[in-house]
Amino acid sequence: MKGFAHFLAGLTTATFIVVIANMYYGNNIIANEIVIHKALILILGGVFGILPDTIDFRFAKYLQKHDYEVDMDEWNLNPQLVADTLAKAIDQANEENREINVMLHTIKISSDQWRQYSVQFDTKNKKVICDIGPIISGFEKRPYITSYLPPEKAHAEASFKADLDYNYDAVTHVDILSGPDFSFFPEGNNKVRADFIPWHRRWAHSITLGIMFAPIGFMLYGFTPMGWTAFWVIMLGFWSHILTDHFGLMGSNMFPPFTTKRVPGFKVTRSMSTLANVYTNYLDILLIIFNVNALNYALSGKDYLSMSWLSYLGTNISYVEWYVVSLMNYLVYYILPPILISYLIIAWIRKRKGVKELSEKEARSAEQLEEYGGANG
Amino acid sequence: MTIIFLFMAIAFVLIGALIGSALSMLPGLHVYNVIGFFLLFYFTASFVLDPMLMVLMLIGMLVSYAFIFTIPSIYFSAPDDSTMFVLMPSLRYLKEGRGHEAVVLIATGALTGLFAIVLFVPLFMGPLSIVWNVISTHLHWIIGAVIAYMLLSEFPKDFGRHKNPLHGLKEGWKTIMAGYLTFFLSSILGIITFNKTIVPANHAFQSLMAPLIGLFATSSIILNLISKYEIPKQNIPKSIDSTPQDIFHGAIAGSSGGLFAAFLPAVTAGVGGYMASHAFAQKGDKSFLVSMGASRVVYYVGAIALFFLPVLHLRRGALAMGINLFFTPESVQQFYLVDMGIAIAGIYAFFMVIFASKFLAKRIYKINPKVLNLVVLGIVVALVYFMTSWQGLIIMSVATAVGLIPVLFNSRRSHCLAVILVPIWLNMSGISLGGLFGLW
Repeated sequence: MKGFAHFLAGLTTATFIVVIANMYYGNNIIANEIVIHKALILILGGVFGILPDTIDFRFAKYLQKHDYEVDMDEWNLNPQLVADTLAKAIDQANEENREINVMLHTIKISSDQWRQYSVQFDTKNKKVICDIGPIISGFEKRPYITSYLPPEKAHAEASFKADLDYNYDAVTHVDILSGPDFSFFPEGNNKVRADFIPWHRRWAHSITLGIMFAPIGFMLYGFTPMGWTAFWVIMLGFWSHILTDHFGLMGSNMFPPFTTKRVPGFKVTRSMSTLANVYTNYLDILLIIFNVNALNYALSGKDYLSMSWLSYLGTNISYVEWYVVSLMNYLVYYILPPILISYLIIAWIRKRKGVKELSEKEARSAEQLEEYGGANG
Repeated sequence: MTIIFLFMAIAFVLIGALIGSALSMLPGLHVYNVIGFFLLFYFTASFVLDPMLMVLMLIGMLVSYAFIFTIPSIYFSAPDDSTMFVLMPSLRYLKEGRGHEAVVLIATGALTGLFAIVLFVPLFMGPLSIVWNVISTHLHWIIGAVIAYMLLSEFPKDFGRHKNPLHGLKEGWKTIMAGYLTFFLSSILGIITFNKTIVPANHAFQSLMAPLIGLFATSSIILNLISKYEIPKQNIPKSIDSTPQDIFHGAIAGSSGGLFAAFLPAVTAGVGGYMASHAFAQKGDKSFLVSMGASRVVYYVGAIALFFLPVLHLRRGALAMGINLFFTPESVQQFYLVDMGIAIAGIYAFFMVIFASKFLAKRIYKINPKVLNLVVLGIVVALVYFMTSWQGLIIMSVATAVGLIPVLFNSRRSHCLAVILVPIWLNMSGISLGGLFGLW
């Protein structure tokens, strides 16, 4: 998901926790702190919701060590060097039985011009293919059509011996800002696994780190009801990031240091898909409004949303009953219909236009490139 | 309401739009800066002029400003707080001879934003007032969340060539730290400006002008003056080759961002538009430019629509506050009259901005950019001196130095908006930091 969706998901999680904590502790202790004493506890949900990506792109990226760095310039374009280095790294990982990391640097020409090149792993024929592409204008990535090299100078291939396990069949373009890196892991029996941007969605996207961050809540508010609430807000806000990312294909490494591989996602959608992000944000914004109304209701008795299903329960209903019935009613009236109707319309338009659904492998490739784009976005 | 009054209403909208379009062409001048003078004029002429006509004239000015300020922000590159996100792609377009294309994309977005206000705000009257009632006691953490997101969502912009991890961190964090420094210094500037500005009391209503111009306009002009560049010959294409998806996506994202900013205090169109572009997973310059046009119009004009919206009457922005000095919106009829005024002024402004852009695109390459920037700098300095006296010039100089940090270190200029966000957020959260700066 985009950072904004993670931030909102964290905030939404925080509003749920705060409402539940307010019910649990009674006397509106938590609601009073937030509304009357202007406590900023809810922001913690957003902050820890976006934190896994912040850690990855601001810290983890720099801690990655590389065995090889391919650094070409405009006057020294050598696709063979790229292909050979990657092929060598794959076999070296297999032969020396250790992880080998390769960094492919971008080729900057001027403040807004970059030379693009691409790499592709042909796992069937055991080849790395590199093609030098055109010069592109930075952010729009528009190619300058006169900048292509002659095919004989632009194309190179190199063979490797190991069986490469690469779950993505995308052509990886190396173009603006910082280039991508690959890790090759030996897996025994002549097999090597390749990971794209290996520092992403590892330890920073884990259940373990969420647990480690949670005690910050006590540091902020002590062992008080607010402290315990902050504990849960931080932990579940952090986990909300991992959960929302997990609806994609790439997955995360859930329990480091006990696990080292990413657990594949639920494959419901691509995590950077526009539609998935818009729906998640819509859902989150409406749930935040609902929970904020629930806090107001607990504090002042004013129910601005006043859902119609409540009338079936009579006047003597508990807060929990009010909350659950209102939430069900709210979901059915305001959250689900717009999502379902717009989804059906979009599906119909896509079908009419003959838009092809991506295969799982294509979707996975698209997702990994979008995640890499996120790093340069 | 008589037919004659209706015609007079249309005439006053158009007079306002004409005045607004002339003023909007001046780089650095914000329509909010001149509203005070028109209010003074009205207070002396109020015995002959119907207040609703004055309101419509001011709305005409605001709407045309929201559209036409695109011209100086692209061709003279003196952005205000809400256009700085447009600056990068639009400057790129100008450098590639596509300045007119950028203007048309932004104007198209602005027109979609106008439709959103005219058609949808009346439809969502009820839900908007419910949402306001629900969140109005929670603004402290909502604005705090906006600030937190601004600070956490910027990623490093390094090129990945590092000797070791420490060197990498240093290189990557350069832009981020520059952004945080900008945020910190802008916050202090804002706290001082809001609590105890040195601008003379008779100019105090313009106290934000000097810091905003310094942060966003003069810093860009100085950068233009010290950089070597030429404005190339501009192409005027027959079509902007934008897909309906680009326009639709940009319009929805921009309108949502603008509405978010118009709805909440302290949040400006720049921040709203930027958050919306993330919320809608926006891709591509064209969609981005459309969204910024929409966001800007919905922010400025939507604020006025929300002020007149029956059952809500939300007072946002200097114009709503100015109008509220002599006018209290009461009826649905007034709201629809304002809605009509917005539509008429918007359609005029759309064609005006296209015409002005074509006129400038044919001539701009003949002008020496250094001379152009010096002229713009002269106008901006004169305006600040005229509106806020020499004390304003001092504030502007400090703000310019702060505004240069993100420009020189390639970090987000949105951090400069801490000048408004932080003092208002602190105020809402009941945190008083003024004592730290010897303000009381």
